[in-house]
Amino acid sequence: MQSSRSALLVFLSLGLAALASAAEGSSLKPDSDKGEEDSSATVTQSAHRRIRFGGLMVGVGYSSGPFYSPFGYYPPYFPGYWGLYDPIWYSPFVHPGLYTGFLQGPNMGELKLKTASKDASLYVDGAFAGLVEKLKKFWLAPGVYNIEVRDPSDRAFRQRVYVLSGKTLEIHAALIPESQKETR
Amino acid sequence: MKFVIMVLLAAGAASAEVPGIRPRADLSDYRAHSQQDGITIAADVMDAEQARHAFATDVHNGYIVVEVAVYPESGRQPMDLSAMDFTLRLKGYPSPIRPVSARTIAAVLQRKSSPKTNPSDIALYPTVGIGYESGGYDPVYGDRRRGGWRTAAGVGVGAGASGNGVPAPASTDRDRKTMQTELEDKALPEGPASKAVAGYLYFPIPAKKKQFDVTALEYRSNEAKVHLNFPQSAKHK
Repeated sequence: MQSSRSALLVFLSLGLAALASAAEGSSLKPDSDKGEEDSSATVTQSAHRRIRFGGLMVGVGYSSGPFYSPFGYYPPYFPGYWGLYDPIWYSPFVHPGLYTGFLQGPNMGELKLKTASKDASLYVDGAFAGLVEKLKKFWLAPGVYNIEVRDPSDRAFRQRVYVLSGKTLEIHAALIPESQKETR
Repeated sequence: MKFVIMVLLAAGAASAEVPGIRPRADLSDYRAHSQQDGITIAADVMDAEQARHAFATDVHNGYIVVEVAVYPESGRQPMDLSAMDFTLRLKGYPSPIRPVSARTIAAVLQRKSSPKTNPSDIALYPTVGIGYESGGYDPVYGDRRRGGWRTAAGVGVGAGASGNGVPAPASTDRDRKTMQTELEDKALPEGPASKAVAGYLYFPIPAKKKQFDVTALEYRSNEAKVHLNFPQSAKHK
């Protein structure tokens, strides 16, 4: 408990120092010297300082014993690492892929794939991604991808998709026989 | 060696997909069409809902999307097509509007969706931890450490906080590049055109205009001048 209290004091003193430096260094004038392409979209900064609570994080953990760090013992510097669950370190926002295997995250875009054929395969940029049945929803990093859905009876659907972070894209894949595909 | 490179470049150019979109089968499928000086131009104004479905990029948010198809007369020399040769006229708005580039739109949309940050904002992150330790021998010093319940508390302080740590949708650099690519891919192809081409033109909505009627589209180049009146004024919300 003593180490926790000392750590709290360290954090609070750091916080006060950050407040002081922010008060000194804050320049609230908009940068009017730089030319803007579109004046309607100019981002102006508020002249008010806000103090915002990021939310209270509570964690529970279990440790079977003390562990050794090559940099010395964590306590009292980082009490949260001494066999305790640290909600910041293990937050999914710090490591988006920690719990998800990098399948999704706040900086990725979601694709919802709808097709009548359940045994069709999905290819992303020519690489096999999996069966459509199991990939009704999946996440991709922002970018341009060539999506192809192909079923065993040689029917296919191809589309170039533009994935943006935080957005959901619905793809209705209507499979047509390869022989009927018109060339452009 | 030079010959090989030339052949490879030619093959690459031939296999490259033509930008823009496919012209509609019939001219009457467009809301307006007109033929003058050996060029036929057809156009349709997309409303916000159509643009929302046609684009992953939120181009409807601040821009009027016009689908344009150009049909040069067969036998004539290839026309030099440029987006800057088109202007759009709105009802009650005296000045014609010129289209803007995909690059500009992508940059503006990225900036619009980026969270507004204030360097003097302070964010506090209180944390509380509780755990149980069974105890055991220290691997370094060998002394026995007593087990028991452990608690920890702390406050994280951040200056110049920007949101909650999660980037806003379509606000990263990769998003900007993707938006630019999409808008360029679907834009009306520029350069020499000897056969029918089609694509979108993006016109900025004048400031403080929330609802307006698109009345006409005009094409004016050194070679030709084509004027299209939209029969029913195309309302845009």
